[in-house]
Amino acid sequence: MKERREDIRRIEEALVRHHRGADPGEIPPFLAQKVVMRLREDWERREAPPINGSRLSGMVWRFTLVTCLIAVLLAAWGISHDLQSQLQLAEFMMDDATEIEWVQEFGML
Amino acid sequence: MLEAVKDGPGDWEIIARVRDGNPEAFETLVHRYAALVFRIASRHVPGDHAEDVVQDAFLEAFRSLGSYSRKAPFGHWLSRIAVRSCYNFWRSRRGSAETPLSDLSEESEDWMNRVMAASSREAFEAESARKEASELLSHAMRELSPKDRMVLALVHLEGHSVQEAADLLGWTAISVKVRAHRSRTKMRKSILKLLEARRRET
Repeated sequence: MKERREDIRRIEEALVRHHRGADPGEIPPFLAQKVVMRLREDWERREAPPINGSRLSGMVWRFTLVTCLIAVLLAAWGISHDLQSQLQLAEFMMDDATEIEWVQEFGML
Repeated sequence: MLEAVKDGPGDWEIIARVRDGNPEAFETLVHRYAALVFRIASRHVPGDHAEDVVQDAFLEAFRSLGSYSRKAPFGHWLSRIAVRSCYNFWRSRRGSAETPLSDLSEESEDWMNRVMAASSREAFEAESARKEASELLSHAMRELSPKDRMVLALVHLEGHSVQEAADLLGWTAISVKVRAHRSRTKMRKSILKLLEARRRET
């Protein structure tokens, strides 16, 4: 590298001079207008209620929360009304006392 | 780098309007500073991408307007965002295919010879202005990381001080100083590689 130091220095200097003297070129026509259009799109996106995404996701979580709450309340109600036996609880939750095979399968009956 | 404030309401007055819920007021700032941001972008990214970077910079400025304080003029604040948008451009292109050494045109290789052989200052300056220099510069910077590239451009090519470059990029002065040295060494090695390849061919 040492023997080429002067060559490198000259090329480097020429590149620096070129960069500093470079003409940035004509500003593209309607540049500001295009920027404004993109900004407007961004504003409108922010103002419009999102169809998907965060709002839908929020609804799903709210639904999940309410479902869990109902399950807990039903369980509490069942216990408070002396639904101690597993059969009664199963009947209540399955809403059909005759469909008890599944309950038997799990040894609840 | 910064233009004088034009006629009409002051920047701060416009910003206050935007903050008060009138986003359309920001359009005045776009018209006022589009040329400044374009000049910054066209110095740091290829010409056909400068417009996209300008749009990104204004979008970022609009979204970050809440964090703007009057510590610095709006133009300076916007310049910093523009420089960082250029850095983000290179970061997003990281890993794209590099052009091999042989892709450098014959004209650019000849240009190096003419620069080295230029006997007068006038001849040297005339060569510096030629478009081949642009190709060679892009080639020499191609192997630099986005951070090194930005530091090299700001400190060595544009002549900003380390502190100014650190301020524009939002990095520490120490980090910029280290990168300035490293990036310049890398560029010199890149030029040396081209010279050696040229010598082997002849």
